[in-house]
Amino acid sequence: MTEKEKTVLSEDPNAGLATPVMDLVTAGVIGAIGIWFAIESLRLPTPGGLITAPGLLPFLTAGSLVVMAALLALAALRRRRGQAAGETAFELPPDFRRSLLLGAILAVYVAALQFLPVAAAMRIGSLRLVIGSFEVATFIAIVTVLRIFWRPVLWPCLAIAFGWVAFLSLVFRLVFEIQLP
Amino acid sequence: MIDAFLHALSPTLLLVSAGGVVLGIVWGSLPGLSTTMAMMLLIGLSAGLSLEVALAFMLGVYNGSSFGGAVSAVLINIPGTPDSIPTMMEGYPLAKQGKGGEALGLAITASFLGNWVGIVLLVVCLPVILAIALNFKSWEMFLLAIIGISICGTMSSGTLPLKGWITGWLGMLAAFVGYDAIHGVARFTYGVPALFDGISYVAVLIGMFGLTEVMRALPQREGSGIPEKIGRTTPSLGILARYMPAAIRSGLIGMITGAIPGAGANIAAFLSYDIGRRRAKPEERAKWGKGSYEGIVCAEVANNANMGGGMLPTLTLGIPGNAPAAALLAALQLKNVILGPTIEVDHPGIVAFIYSLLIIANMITWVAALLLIKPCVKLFQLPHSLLLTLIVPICVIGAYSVRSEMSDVWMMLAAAFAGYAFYILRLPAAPVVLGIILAPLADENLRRALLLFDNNGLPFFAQQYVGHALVLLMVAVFMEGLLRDRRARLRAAVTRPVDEPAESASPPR
Repeated sequence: MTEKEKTVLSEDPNAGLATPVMDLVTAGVIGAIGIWFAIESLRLPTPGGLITAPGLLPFLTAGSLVVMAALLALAALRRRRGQAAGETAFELPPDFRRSLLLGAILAVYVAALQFLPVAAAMRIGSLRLVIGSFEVATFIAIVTVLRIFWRPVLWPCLAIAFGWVAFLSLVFRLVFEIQLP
Repeated sequence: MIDAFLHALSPTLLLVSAGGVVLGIVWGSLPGLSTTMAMMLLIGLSAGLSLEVALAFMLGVYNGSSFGGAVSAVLINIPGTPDSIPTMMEGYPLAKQGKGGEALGLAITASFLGNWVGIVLLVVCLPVILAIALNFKSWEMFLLAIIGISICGTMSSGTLPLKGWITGWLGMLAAFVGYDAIHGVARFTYGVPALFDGISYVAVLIGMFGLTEVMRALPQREGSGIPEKIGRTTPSLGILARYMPAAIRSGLIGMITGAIPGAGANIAAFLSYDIGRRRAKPEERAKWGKGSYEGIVCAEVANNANMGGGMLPTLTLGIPGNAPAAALLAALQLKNVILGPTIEVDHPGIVAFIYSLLIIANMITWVAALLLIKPCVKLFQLPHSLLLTLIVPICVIGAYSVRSEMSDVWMMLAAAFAGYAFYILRLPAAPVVLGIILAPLADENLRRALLLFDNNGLPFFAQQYVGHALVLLMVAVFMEGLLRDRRARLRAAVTRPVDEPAESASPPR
């Protein structure tokens, strides 16, 4: 097996060394999380004594996480020292900005699901159709995402969004009787 | 067993299994939609179904999508699922020679065989493992949970286990949020009511494997070609008979790999492919990389046998063998079915029912796959940006449906952002799943075990021979991981100035 293939023998082919600066950032964030949890674990009450303390395993986990973060940071620092001048500090995916835009749209979508005050119902024969924030927010979100990431022509986006929202709403509200936002 | 099989053959369950298989094949064949993603989305959606229907549907999808990845891999050189990359390496050259249909037919039959190997070994090994597992007490269960997370970390991040352990430990910390099971003390909730019941692991799993994938893949520009005619798809029995020894070997590799927590179909397929190439006859080896039927057999048998292997620790110990098995375990937990050593006592007949569903789903997959290849080809014409957009509301429904709380949807979104950060920082996400699922088991059992040791003294602790063996195993896992980690860093330090500068440090784009 070649060196290249050896790195493929992992369940997540993306996992591995990042740039030293990125590994340092990772270690910093992980270390901070670990320290935070360790301190908070110590502040938890111990009703049945130390050996059954609710904070016991969280403390051990957080403590060992801090050690792992330190190991990662040390290795990253060593690699950074051997790094050639001008090497990239942060490697970002080429579509990073588009991913961020999508993330922002998703955040607005979830906020709309929670705060959009829509609740209407109508009857078609024996069917009781409900229109809530899910239907409205999902329709708008799908149209927006499709227009930005698929094609700029509006009407196919509108038609697909309408059809998909109607399908999901009917299937989940009426067939599976699952509550939707 | 016969009763369970007859029950699984009831028209409703048969229809549900078939529906799951068809959906799975279509899903798996679409580039970018993985088996893990399908299974994670189904956890929440299965909440509204009965136990039998949910199991039949999920196992159908699991079976179908395990094969589906091969379709796009062979025909358009894009693996539908990551484990079909070796199939792509051999199948696409065959498709260019006009033998795409034959390659797919062989892949279908190899998948069918692989599933059988997995199921047979599962049926044979499960009672043995279950008998051993029944002797495991609190201390052993705690150690097994930690070993499971650690091995998953090691297997997920290949040469850098440290990163895998870090994400596994983060998953554990997330699982500690909420009331603790022994004293009812609120941990890390800060008075936020939504956190009292803990973080919904379903929401985290959907966010991390569903929405993250959408955030990663949707913004990428389109780049797939439309396949040409694929020709005959019925498999040749002659070819299959020639590669039968390779199929049996690959089945065993897939099964054993599946039984190791964290080592899923990807490792099984690559490992079996590599061993197959080394053991091939010289005239066969010359064909590898240029269109080898044997390569397809090795990869497809192994990644499907992995399913049975993954079920083994899931059913007997409650420790998922791979990410899709973790999804199944989570879905069953929602139905109050706790998998583990006492599964046959707590839920008599469920194991036999699962065997039956696996057998039925496998048979349906074989027939459905042969029928669906040509319609699937038409689906490749759909742009992935359209398909991935339509998945977003399914993620929302999946996360919301479990507890009907918007906080779970927010949690899913937060997990998706975390998953995307993991992708950029090259941290594996799979250990988070094991961490979040196994942490409660580890937490409860550690405290029970310590209480027992405290009450019974040192001689009692000294008699925990299985526990001592597991402690040694845990130390071995960490030592091996740390050594591998060190070797990887040394290799990176040595090769970086020679190779292109960021070869080992940039995410695959």
